[in-house]
Amino acid sequence: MTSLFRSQKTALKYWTGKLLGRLINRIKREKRRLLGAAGIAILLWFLVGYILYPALKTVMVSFTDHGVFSFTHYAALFTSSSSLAVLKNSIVLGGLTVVFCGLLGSALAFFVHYFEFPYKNIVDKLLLLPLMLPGIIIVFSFVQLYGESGLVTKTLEWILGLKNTPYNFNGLPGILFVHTYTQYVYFYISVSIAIKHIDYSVIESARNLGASRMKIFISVIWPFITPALITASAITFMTGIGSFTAPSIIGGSYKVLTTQILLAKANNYMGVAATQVVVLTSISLLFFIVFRWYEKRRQFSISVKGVSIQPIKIENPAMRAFMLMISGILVLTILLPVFTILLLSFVKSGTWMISIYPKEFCLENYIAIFTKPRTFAPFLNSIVMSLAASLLCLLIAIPSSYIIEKTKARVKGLIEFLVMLPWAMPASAIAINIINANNAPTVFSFNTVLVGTYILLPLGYFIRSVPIMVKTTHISFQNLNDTYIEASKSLGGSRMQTFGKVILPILSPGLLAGFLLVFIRSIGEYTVSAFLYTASNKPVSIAMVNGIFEYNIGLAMAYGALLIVLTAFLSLLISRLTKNIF
Amino acid sequence: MGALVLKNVAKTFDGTIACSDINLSIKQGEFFTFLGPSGCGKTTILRLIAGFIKPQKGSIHLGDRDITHLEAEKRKVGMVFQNYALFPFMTVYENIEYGLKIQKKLGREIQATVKKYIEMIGLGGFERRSIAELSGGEQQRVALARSLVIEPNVLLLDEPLSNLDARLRDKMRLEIKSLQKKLGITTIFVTHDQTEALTLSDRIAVFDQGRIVQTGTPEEVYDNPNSAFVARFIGDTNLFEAVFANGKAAISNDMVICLNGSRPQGKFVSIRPQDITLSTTDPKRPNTFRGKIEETQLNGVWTEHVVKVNQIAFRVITLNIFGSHFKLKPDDDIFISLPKNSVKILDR
Repeated sequence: MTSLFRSQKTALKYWTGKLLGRLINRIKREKRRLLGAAGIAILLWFLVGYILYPALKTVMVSFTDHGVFSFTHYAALFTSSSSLAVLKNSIVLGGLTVVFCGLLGSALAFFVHYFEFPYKNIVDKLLLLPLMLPGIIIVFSFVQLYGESGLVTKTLEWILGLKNTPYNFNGLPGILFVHTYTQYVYFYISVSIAIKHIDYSVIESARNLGASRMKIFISVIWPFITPALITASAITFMTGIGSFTAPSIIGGSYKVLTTQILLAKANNYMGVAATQVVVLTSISLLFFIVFRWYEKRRQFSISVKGVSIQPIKIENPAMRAFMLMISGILVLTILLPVFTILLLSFVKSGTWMISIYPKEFCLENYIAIFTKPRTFAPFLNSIVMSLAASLLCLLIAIPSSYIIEKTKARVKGLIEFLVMLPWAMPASAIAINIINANNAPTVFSFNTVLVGTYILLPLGYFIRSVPIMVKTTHISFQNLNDTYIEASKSLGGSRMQTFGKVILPILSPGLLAGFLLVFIRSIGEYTVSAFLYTASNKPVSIAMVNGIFEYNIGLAMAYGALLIVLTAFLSLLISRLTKNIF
Repeated sequence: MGALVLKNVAKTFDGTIACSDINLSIKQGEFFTFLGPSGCGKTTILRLIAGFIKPQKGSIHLGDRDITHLEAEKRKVGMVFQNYALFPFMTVYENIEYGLKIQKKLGREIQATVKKYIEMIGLGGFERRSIAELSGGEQQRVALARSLVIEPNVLLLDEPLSNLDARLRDKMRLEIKSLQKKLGITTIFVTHDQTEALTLSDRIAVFDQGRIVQTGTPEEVYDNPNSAFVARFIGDTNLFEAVFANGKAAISNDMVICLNGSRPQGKFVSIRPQDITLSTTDPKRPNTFRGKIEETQLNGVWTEHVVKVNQIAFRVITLNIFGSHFKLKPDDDIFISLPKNSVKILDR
């Protein structure tokens, strides 16, 4: 009897032990799943709250007049001739930007990749420079060079003995000039990649089948580069109609949607501003869809690894000299704005008013920036806010890329849509969306009003750059092959050891490069800044504009020079970091 | 460390059965091969043994320890991946020392061990090279050394030769075998290549659709396949469905083959191409049939013939010993003889 009782007891013990063990295992497994679900929920809450909700709020505002639903704002926009003219101006500007950038960018791509000439690599790298420089710096350097009293303008006047300026830099031509200088890079990059991917054996086989040079260009090379041209056109058009910096500073009487949005916002016509934002974003979104569709399609076009085009070597010395001259002019044109800013940053305040060229140089401007708190504040603000934006981008991009790239979560499509959405939004739209969403307490801001606070501007920088950050982290996660993690485990590496010694070293160059890229994009940012800055967080770009309007050109240029040096240094660092990744 | 034993192991992924009823006992120091077509579950079992995935059913034992639920990093099971999975940001030396550093071994000890293995794989002088600078074969050796330094209980090789070109594959095959012999390490080798399996293994397990169909020495599985699948997968064969009666197998109405043994029963007959003999005149032997040469193909060491006997095609291989080979042309008359004891009877 006792023995039976004892065995029953041990059996009971055994079974409870086994059940308990199972329960603990179950909880362990569920815990990981619950934690994952909670992480995804927090991420989605943030993305919806700060990207989707603001955009929808703007749509709502655009359909509200005096607190009720109405179409009055749209009716006003589409019936007033001045509003329609503004809309037309924006579209014309976008279209012409595409045409000029397309011609220049493609021509440069063919020039650099079709021929072999000295210093080719340097030219290739330098041609990417305008994209890295803050737009506001380029605009100001152009004003200083080609504006009414610009160095080049005055020199031409002097040489040709003219009484008036030979051209009018303000208005559409000036904007187009700036756009062409900065945005040809999209065409240059896409067409360059397409040319590098042209399979030379296809050209050879066409020749073998008896095709003439012209025929080869039309039937072989052209189809290879059309997707590149289409994607670059879509991106350039989006940037062109969304551009604010050039139209606001040199646009003069040429009014476009982006500048009108700021005007409406400044006069507190938020309904009007919202309507213009919706119209602008809709056009942009349309081109964004075209872009994404072609971008996805292009990924399938490269099937077999082919032979790449060998650049044509030019033997004729006269031709060689000519090529060298062209590349020299290219380098000079690209670097001229940069040199101008660096040079003018040393100009002594108030000494350069009547003569064409500045004569007195000093370090006064730099000393002012670094010694006077009032002039140092904008520089510090920009650094702090750019760091905050970069950090926020990193915090959002890492889990987003991880979920999109490495999990089978059902919401990954939604997450990808949300993080890519700001790409389709012009900066002015992003700014208006943020204002509309945060001028009243919401659950997303824990019941506080964010408008007028410091945080709004770095938030704007973050939203503007989150798509590009996710693109960069994506590549990092693609490089993180699961077998590396398994290899580490099989060699005895614990979770922590594997993370520290394998995962982190593989991910970190890409993540750091992305971080720095966002920093560069934010440090000299002007559009979002113009909409959202307050007295507490005036950034360096706004300080530059103020400096110019107060005729304190030296100080403005010193800010610009600091940005250029910082940008150049960080760009170099990025290209070092990404050498082995891309 | 003792034997590696798998008992009734099964694994399903989202409802699809990757493997089931896996029972294996691999002896200490044995070179054991998982052979099967791709997608037959052999890599799944390798990953179960490594601990990257856990089985839904059954258990895995190493010596007297149940390791079914043990984490991968605590198993000391070395693995060489199909793509090698060498850490791209580390040098050759850093890759090999990784496992030792994890174990927090002393610096001098690490140095000596790494040096020993680098010499062993013949890559002395390559220590500071980055992985990208190595050829496929060199990467393969580094991957091997990286798993060997931790002195694993079991070494798992997942199709390690599949990314190499033919000549290098032959060379590495020999090297892997001699290294394994020298170290006496229990090794599991996954492949879909029958030559690799036959030349390297002490024993082979043949896989089909997530199950083990046959286990045995290379000789056993080659000479006595237990199913049509194994007969076809290992080596070439002439395989026919047949009706068995009175100690004979009829593969068609007018073709009846006499068999060994008393009234054997089965479903298929199988005969290897090299077991069939050809003669230009009737050799007056049992199981001789008259046919026509359909095609001949010189292959160097041997010649392959297709012989048609009343619409049934036989593949026949003859050795090209100098002066002895047939000069046969298509449409030549020929007699084929099937020796009784080389005709295998298969149940499934």
